[in-house]
Amino acid sequence: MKSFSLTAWRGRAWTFGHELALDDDVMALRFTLLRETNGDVLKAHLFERLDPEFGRAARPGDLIVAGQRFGHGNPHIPAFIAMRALGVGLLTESMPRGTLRNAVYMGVPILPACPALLEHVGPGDALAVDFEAGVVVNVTRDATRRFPPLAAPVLDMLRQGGVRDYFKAQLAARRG
Amino acid sequence: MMSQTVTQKILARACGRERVQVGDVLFPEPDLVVIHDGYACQLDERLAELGARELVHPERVLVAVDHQVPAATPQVAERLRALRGHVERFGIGHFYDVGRGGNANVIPVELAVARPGMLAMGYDIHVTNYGAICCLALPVGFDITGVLAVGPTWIQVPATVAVELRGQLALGVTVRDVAQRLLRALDPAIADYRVIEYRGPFAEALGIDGRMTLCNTPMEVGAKSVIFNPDDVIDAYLAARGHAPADRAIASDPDAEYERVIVVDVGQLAPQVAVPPRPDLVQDVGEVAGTRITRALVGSCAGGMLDDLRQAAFVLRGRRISADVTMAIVPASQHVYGAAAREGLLQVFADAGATVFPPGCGPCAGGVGGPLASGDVCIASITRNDPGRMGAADASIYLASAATVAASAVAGEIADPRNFTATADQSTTR
Repeated sequence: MKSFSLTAWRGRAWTFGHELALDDDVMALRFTLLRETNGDVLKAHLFERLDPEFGRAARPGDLIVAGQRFGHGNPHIPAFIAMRALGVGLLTESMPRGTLRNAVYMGVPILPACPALLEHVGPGDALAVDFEAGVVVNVTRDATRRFPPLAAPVLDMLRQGGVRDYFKAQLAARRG
Repeated sequence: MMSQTVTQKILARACGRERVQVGDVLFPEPDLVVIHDGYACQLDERLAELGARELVHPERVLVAVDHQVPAATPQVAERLRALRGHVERFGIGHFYDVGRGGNANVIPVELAVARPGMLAMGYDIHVTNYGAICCLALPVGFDITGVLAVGPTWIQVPATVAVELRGQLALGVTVRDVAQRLLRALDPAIADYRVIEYRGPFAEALGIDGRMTLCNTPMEVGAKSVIFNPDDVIDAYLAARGHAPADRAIASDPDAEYERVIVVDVGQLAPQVAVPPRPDLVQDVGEVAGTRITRALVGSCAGGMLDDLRQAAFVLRGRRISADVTMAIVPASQHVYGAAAREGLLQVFADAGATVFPPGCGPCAGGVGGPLASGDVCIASITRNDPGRMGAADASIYLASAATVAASAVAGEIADPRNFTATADQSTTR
């Protein structure tokens, strides 16, 4: 599924604003209440209320670029199952840790702490991102910015496809 | 040895270390793992996603049916039947079915299954209530599947923010108002991924019910967990349940590292109301008083404890709720329900024209049972007020103390409970 490396991720930017509520702006709460966990079902509904085209038009490698407190609210996971299914990455100015944990669980590459990022990225900009080093290159604007990457042990799990895949691998190894 | 906070000590013990530092990434072994029916009814599917067929420590797992109570459709009844099968098949150690326990964020404290010094992990964000009894509880969301089936998940040691509470509440003002006032002080930039540790004379005098409320609400501004240090109040609560006192050695060292200390004097505090659409948009009650309401709700892991029901009953005693309002009371647990019956609180609710729902999460869990209709305006002592949280997305939810909820239900509009004479003691449940 993952066709991009964490160190050389390239895609178009989809920009969103500040304070997106996880249960409303990012993914309707009804999918949590329905206990829907199928990425192929969920991906069409990501950002449905804000940008009904997103789920159809986003391509693997594209990057969601959002402002402060991305995905606040109860940390429900369907949005991240959808991001995984779409093969997109996520750059935010800030995000609550429950939301961050779900991104890492599903293996969605993230740079969660990129202050003022929205001032430097516009819709459709071509980006090249090194998630391990914390480098965001805006190819369209010919500008480079550096942000803190995730801690090394967390990056290790992300390289294995996220915490879910890390657990799967552990279990498989235990069985020999 | 370097000084440690209670959080650091519990995490260090859970991964076999002498000490840990803020920022370390650990894989600590939990003593207690808690899941509710909303997750547990699909436990088999979740485990299958990892290729797992069994739980690593089923004896440490607690399952409570609190989200879908009572089963409102045949589909939900089937889910709960499936859940009972999972409990049996996987040998889960602690199971609380409908009518046997209640809200999973409350009953481990009430039953002293969560105890001082323990590390708990849970699916639900508000397991942090266990901090009331000095059990460090970390919500880990979907990682819980791996914790159940494989082993520890990653925890980055959070920094601690001390919140020192001083002063005495005015009559009609409650611990929930303190909790909501704190959301104004605890900007997400301050609280994000921090543990909130309470101290100070007001906090130390509080009973366990009030402490649970204080351990609940900081999650809305991004806290990782919330905790009280071991003390005499906790010891008395444990003794009443046949358990030994807390080990004082797990308490934060006096010179432990705090990222910040926030001091709040509760003496001048007015009742606090959170306005839609976020729980941290908190205002003094006077700023929203007069807003017409159609629904009122007392319940949830933030506001459905016995103290909350007592506050509501104090306001409602001898009064009738407005003809324009319907009101529901959801005791957080079977224990609260029984105690409310013994104290005559249920009689007060019945006479006032309120309904009492079965113990559990009630409509706070996504509007299950008693959802809001389009255009409804509800005032509730629940955890959050996101659009659609209790049904129709264009209903409005205001968050307030049980006393303010009850006063508003009587008035038919958001009202200051201080105008309804004094409310009950805030912290009598030990």
